[in-house]
Amino acid sequence: MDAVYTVTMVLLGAAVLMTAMRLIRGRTAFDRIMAMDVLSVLLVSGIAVHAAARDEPANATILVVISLLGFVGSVTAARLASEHAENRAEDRA
Amino acid sequence: MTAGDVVTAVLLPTGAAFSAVGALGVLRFPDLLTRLHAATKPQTIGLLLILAGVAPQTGSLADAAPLLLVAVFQLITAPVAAQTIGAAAYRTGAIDPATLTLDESSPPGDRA
Amino acid sequence: MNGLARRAGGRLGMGVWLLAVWVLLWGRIDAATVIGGLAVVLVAYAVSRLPTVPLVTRVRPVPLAKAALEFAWDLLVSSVVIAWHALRAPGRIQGAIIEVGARSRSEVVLLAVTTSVSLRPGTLLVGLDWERSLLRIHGMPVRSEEEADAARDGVLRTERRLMRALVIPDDDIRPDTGARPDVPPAEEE
Repeated sequence: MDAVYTVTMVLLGAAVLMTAMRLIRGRTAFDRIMAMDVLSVLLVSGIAVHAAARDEPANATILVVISLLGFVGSVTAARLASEHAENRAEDRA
Repeated sequence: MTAGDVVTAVLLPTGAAFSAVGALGVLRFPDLLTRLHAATKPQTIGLLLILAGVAPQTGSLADAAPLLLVAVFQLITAPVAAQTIGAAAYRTGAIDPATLTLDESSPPGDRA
Repeated sequence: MNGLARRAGGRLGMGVWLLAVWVLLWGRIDAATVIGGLAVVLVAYAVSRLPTVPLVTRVRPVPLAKAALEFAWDLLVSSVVIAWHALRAPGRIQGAIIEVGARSRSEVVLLAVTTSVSLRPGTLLVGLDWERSLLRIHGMPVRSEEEADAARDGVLRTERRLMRALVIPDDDIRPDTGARPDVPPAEEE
């Protein structure tokens, strides 16, 4: 079973690295918000796998809290970013 | 290996592979909207498979049930987050028209 | 069914969902958890104006199960399709903004449609006009008009499937059923 967990964790780690690269490259604020959203989902997956690998019961409360925080954070950030962009467009006009 | 272990051994790497390929799409797709596709669907199925793979290891139904809650929240929130980001980007004109083969909506100046 | 009964029904649905979340978070079902959960739900209702669950008159279980299965299948297929593109030629992927006129005016059906649109193969919602039930979606990969029409048909098929599963009041269905309304798009939100 150890091999299963190792493979899973390596794949998740690769996913985190690639998403982090998108976070750094961005180009727009929306790309970065999206990357953060993906990272929070990957974090939830990672914690669940980690708990199973160590034979601990997965603490679902933490998982729910992280996924909800990630969601609320993304939606808030997207709204802020769009307001910001609209203000800038008005300034230019 | 028990039957539960077999389920775990199949589902965990499959789910993680979906997550990884989705992240690859997030990194390599050319524009925001296509990247948003890659950020939503493979990540959702990846998390669902991983949660399903973890469930047999929890030992009891009471420990596995909360994982269902995480899955339901992901199914509800993932499309909403993607729509919020997509709509905000679209409204503010962050979408490069060159990446679209067709745009049936009103011209950029009329966007609310 | 009058308005009051509708609202009460909607609140009850929301309360049951909250209670289910509470019990799942505790991870056990016993009298103390359920009574504590009921108290929390009641207090939550008292201090806030929680949204009611939008109205459905009746749920048809078999079509609903079918819609759920097809949704799961769609999610799997869309992930595979995206994986394929991500691995092969991600630089050449092309998309399009497509408008789809929905038949239903019911909030619950439209919500179900938008959720499945965003998780279906190749479509993602970027705008929604509640007034005219107009969905603005991004399709991928879409390289031609034909593929755009195919994406639009897919969304409309999903809507029909969900309308079979969730029975809504008749006044929530648009009499005019066109693939694309001729009126110009109004402002969103």
